[in-house]
Amino acid sequence: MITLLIAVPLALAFATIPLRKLARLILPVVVLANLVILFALKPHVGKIIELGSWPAVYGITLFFDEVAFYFLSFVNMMFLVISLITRDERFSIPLLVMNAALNGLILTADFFNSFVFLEIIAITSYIISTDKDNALGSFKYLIFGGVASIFYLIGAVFMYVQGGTLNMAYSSYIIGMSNPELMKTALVLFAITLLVELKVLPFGLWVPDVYGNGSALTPVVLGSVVSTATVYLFSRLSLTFVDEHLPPVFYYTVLASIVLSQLGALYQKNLGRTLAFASMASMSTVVASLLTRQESVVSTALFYLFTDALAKFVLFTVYGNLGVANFRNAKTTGIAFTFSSLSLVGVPIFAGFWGKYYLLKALFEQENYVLAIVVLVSTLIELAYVTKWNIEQWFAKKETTKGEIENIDLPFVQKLFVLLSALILLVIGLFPQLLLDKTNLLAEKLFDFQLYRDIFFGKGGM
Amino acid sequence: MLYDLSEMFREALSVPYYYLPLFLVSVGIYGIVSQRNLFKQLVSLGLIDTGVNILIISLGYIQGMEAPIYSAVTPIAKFVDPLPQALVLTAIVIGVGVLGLGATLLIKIHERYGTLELDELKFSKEHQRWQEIMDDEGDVGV
Repeated sequence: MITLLIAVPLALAFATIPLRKLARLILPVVVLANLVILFALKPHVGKIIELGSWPAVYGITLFFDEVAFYFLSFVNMMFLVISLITRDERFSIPLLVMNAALNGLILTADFFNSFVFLEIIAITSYIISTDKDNALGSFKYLIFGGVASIFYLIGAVFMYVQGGTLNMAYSSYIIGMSNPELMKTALVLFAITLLVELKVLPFGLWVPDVYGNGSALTPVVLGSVVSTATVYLFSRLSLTFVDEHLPPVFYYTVLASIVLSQLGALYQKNLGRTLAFASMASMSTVVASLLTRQESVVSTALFYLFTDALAKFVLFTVYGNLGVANFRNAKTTGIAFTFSSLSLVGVPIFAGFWGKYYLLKALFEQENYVLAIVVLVSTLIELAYVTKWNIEQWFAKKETTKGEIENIDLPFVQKLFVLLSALILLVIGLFPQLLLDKTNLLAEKLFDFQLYRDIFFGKGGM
Repeated sequence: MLYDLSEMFREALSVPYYYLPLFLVSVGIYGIVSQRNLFKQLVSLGLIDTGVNILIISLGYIQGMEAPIYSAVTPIAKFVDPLPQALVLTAIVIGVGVLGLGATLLIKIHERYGTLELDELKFSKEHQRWQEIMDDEGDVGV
């Protein structure tokens, strides 16, 4: 049943190639069906699905546990909103393919299969990032992604050659027992690929050109759903399967990436590029927290990830559709933008505040002062540019040729969803425990390789 | 401690059929870093792809074994490992897709800017930006 999350969007994507208008109508229905299937299967988490009835060690296996369930739910909910607010039918088919690949990436327990899904996501991302005639930015992204993906492929083949299987659980277990150094080398290869999608500098140098071109769809899709799915895979590979830290050079690179991205955001004169750099800084913060391999820090990093994705959805949707707007004539949109940007900085009563508060608290408890200081410094820089852009949009006069104040606003559906998202940030800000309980559970499961293995080694298979 | 990469490299050089993939990947990386023409960068990416595909097939090769084709005259279990070959088939298809999409993007870039040279593209982008600003000011005047 869970295989339908991959099969249905993929089949309908190809079936609707001659009927693009139909694809636009089908997309939200398919994503809604995915969510219905997911919630119907919630009581059955902790199962594996052996495709074609091949034993897990030989064939492709899907792994459906609580971590996969929550990540799939978030990704599909964001996808549903994106499919409802996207009016451009050119991207409906790539979005259907991407939806199938994202679900596959989260569900698969096979190294090579995850490479294939990563590549499908990359190809659809290149297509979507050509929005607003941005072929040059998209080509830059293709070169970065193309070179990086080769490292993942080599890593997957290394795992097969040494472990004798492509199954993540079996291969990691065998190599972890026999040759842990090789396991860590493979993780380095995987990390190089994933850091491109996770937008960590210097791997994420493609981001400003792709996100900053004024498209609403590109940054929302890549920043909210693709990044979240990639964080899932990165967490699985670096926390579940490997028991050691990545080499310190990765950690220091990510720390530098946080500060440099925030400085980049501060010095931009274009709001789109500012948000692009801000997005890089946020993802670098999440990656740095994951690299600490401390359960409490990982839990707060996931809290930060989900709230940040929601805030970025609002900011990019507003910027992509209105550019630098005049909020005095678009007050509802303006309020949603300001709420989200305040949440991004970490102002109290918004979800972002708790994201940063819990993260700093966990870091100080773990005596990880370097990352804590970097997060504090980055917050100060963030506060400066968020204030600047809010003042610009609320108080700067932008007049038309007739001397009137510009009167443009989002269409009703988009306005509704950005307002809802901003309100969700406020609700999480008032009741943070709602989300924190879930992220604590996710962090606990992510570190539990024993449980993951047990499901494969016959205790939970079906 | 990471797996000793220098030892891995020495091992690779001791096996003659790793020479070609190493050479292709090196040329490809050099091409991407040094070339200022976008089409040459795309070709370099193709070279890296090909090099890695040959490397994967080489990893499954076992000295003295047969091709993995089952027939009456082929002894069972005397095959080279067929799985890397199957993986490479998929990787080739993905590689073709990426290169095809890359070529499409290059056509779009050429249509818009009239060049694929990075230095000229920078100038062309600046020129277009100024042109757009001038056009906007012209509209205000009207």
